[in-house]
Amino acid sequence: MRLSPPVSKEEVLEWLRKEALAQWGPEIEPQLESALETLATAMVAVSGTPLPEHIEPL
Amino acid sequence: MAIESTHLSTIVPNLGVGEIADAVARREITPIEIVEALLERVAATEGKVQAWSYLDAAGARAQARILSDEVVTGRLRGPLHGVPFGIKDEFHVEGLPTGMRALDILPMEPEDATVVTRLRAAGAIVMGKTHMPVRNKELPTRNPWNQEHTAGGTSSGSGASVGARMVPFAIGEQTMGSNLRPACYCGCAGLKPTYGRISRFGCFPFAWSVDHVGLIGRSFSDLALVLSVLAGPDSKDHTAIADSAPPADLQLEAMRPPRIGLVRNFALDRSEPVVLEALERSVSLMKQAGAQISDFNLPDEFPLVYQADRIVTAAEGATFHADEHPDMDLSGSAGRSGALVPATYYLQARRMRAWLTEKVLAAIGPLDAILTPTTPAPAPKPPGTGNATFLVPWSFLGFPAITVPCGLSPEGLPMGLQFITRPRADYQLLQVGAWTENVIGRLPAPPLP
Repeated sequence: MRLSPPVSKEEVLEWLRKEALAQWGPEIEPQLESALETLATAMVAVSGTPLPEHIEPL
Repeated sequence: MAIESTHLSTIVPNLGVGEIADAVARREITPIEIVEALLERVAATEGKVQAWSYLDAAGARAQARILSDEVVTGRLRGPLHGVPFGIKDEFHVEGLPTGMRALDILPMEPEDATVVTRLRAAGAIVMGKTHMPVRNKELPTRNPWNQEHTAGGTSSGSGASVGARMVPFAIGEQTMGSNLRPACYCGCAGLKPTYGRISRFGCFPFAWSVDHVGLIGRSFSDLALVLSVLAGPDSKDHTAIADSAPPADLQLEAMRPPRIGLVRNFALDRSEPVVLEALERSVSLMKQAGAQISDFNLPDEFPLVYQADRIVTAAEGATFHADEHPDMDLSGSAGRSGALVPATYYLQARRMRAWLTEKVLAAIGPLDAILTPTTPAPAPKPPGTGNATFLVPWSFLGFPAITVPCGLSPEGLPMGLQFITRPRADYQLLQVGAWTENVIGRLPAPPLP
């Protein structure tokens, strides 16, 4: 999944569901679906926030 | 202070860390008498509170007998000689099991965590392991102030053991809010130090870059004494910071009233009226005592801390816990999703941590600390373990934070003030805690037998 340009929640969620099914199929249980939604929201926020170039991981 | 031996079982549980250590050093009481008095307290209260996953009464007595003999020969190991403590079932203690391993048959650990090694070297006594949730099972631990309510998050057993006066201090761990929340709910003083201030070696990980060893006690002078033993570099933990341990003495007589920023744009609108009233009452008392308290706003970007935290915690948790039992906390569905985090997102979330750290540091500027409620509400009833919203950011950013008890709700449940400051200023933050504790007063003992 690309980091930039910013991703939408729909495309992240679709990608996460596909990856989850590939790893743990054959279906996504409700608990995992909820966790994927939360993760998608976080990924959208991180993707959509430009950071100054001098910033390194901490 | 002379201690009447006929009243040990009522006196000892109400002594703090420093008071016990002083009494032992003055030969007014022996370590074995202390352990026996606290075991009696455990026997009287554990049925209601259920703080212990593994109470090591035999081991505590054996340690205490050795320490008692040493006192007779004039030897004191260190500043905690004869002081018992509890430790969360996440840490390795030689010869005891670690419940967080969540195995059907738990092995006895072959060595101590660094915190245990340092506490033993200072003369402290392991009373046992305190409850934490394992395999998503609801914790048996209940709040010492009202057993219909939770004692807090994963360090519930540590908070409850101190709150119920079973031990004078306990070791917890905080990845989200799990040290300060139980400390607050159980009416205790709590410290989540700067990330790396206390070695994590021998602490079973949730998420490496967010895990903090935490302290729970009954006063800030006690926490300073324990921190002075535990802090400092450790060759077994590369994230342990190199600074030497701070002094045990908080030197309050030389301290000016603190400059505090009351956070206005983050926590107050999410807090229940009873918590806001306790906060306002405390702020008023602090102002009367000379504290400079001004309104403070966190940077507009601050809410991103929660999103970055989700990514980092999920990815690190899923990495360590990848091959564990599916009903283990972190490799259940929520934890498993962390395995899908792309490396680019993980690194960008950690860059976001650096960026937010810069912004918050600039905002804090010359203040001694900033202030929020510790939790938005007093302890709820199980199965909930409470709300960590105000605590998560400081775990993720690695800033030190404390909780200071600030009163009881109409239901008799404790509430707390959370003070936060810049990394590595743990000592100054404990000074703020002790100053505040002196101004607003300590809570009485909970209504237990």
